Amino acid sequence: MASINYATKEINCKLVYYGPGMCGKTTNLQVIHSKLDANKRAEMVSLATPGERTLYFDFLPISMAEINGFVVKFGLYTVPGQVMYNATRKLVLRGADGVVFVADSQWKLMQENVDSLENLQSNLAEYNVNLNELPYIMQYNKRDLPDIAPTWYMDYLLNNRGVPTYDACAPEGKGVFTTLSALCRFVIRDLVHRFESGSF
Amino acid sequence: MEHNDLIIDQDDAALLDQCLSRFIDDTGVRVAMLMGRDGHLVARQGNSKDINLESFCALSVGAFASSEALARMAGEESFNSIFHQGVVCNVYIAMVGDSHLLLVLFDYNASAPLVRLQTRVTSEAMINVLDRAYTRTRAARIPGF
Repeated sequence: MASINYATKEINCKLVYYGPGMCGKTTNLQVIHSKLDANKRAEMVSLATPGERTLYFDFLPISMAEINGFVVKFGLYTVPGQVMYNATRKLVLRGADGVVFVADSQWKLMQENVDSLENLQSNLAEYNVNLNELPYIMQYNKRDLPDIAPTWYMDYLLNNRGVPTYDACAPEGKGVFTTLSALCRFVIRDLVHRFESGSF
Repeated sequence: MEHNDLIIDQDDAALLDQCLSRFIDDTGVRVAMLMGRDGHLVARQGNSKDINLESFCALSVGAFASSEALARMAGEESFNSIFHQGVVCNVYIAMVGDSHLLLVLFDYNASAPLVRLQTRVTSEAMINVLDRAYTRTRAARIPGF
C-alpha cells in the first residue's frame, strides 16, 4: 500500500524482511542503520525480548531515492522469526510493498527456511496477496559459516520462482546494501509500472 | 492482486489539515495525526516537536493492530479505538475508515470524553476526503512519472 503525497512531496513504501528465527533479519537493519548517513535515516526501533530476540518488529525509516522531485521513503520492518509469533508476523506484513526473504545458509536450518517460506505465502494469502505479484527477492545469509548449503541447492529448494538472490554475511555488512538496493529498485519499478498501466 | 495505494493531492492534504486543525481547536489536544494502517504519516497538525513521528506512527500502528487481533480472538470484529493513559500525557488512537488511523496526543488541557466525541466527527470528515482520494487513485494515470 504505497502512498504518494503531493503536499509533502513524498512517496512512502513498506519493505519487510521475512525469514526463520535467527537468520539475520535484525542484523540487516542494524547494519543499514549503522552505515547509512544520519540524514538518510531516522532512529531504529526494536521491540525485542530481554534476550534480544525480536518480539514484535524492528523498524527503520530511510530515504533512498528521489523521483521527479518526490523523496521516496522506505519503512524497513523485520518480523519475529520464532514460530510462536505468527500472529504478530502477519500483522507486520500488512500493506507491504516489497519483501526480502532472508534464508539461513546452514544445512541444518534448511527445513526452517522451507517452513518460513510457506508461512510467508500463507500469511500473504490472508491479505489476498500472491508472492508472484509482489516485489520479492531472496538473501542467502551467513555465507561465511562452515557447513552451508551451496547456492544452487538453496535455489532448488527455496527459489522455484527464480527471483533474484543475493549472498550475504550480514554482521560484516556483505550483501546487505546490495539486497536493500535491489528491493528498493524492484519496488520503485513496480510502482512506476502500476502508474503507467493505470492499476495504481 | 488488489492494490490499496493512495495518492494525496494538494487539495486533499489541505482538507485533511483543516480537519485536524479544527479538531485541535475544538478539543485542545497537543497533536493530531492521520496515518495509514501500514504506519506512514499522511497529515499532522499541532505541536509535534521532540517527537520522532515516523517511529511514533510505526509503534502506534503496531499497538492498534495487536488490539485488533485481540478483539477478533475475544469474539469482537474490532476494537475501533485504543486509549493509553499516562500521568501527564495520553494517547488516543481511533480508526478512520478501514485504511487509516487518527492518533491523538493530549495532556490535562484536553478532556478524554470530548476527544472521543470529536474524533467521531473528525473521522467522518476525513473518510469523505480519503474516499475521494482512493476513487481518484484507482483511476489515475500519471504520464511521465
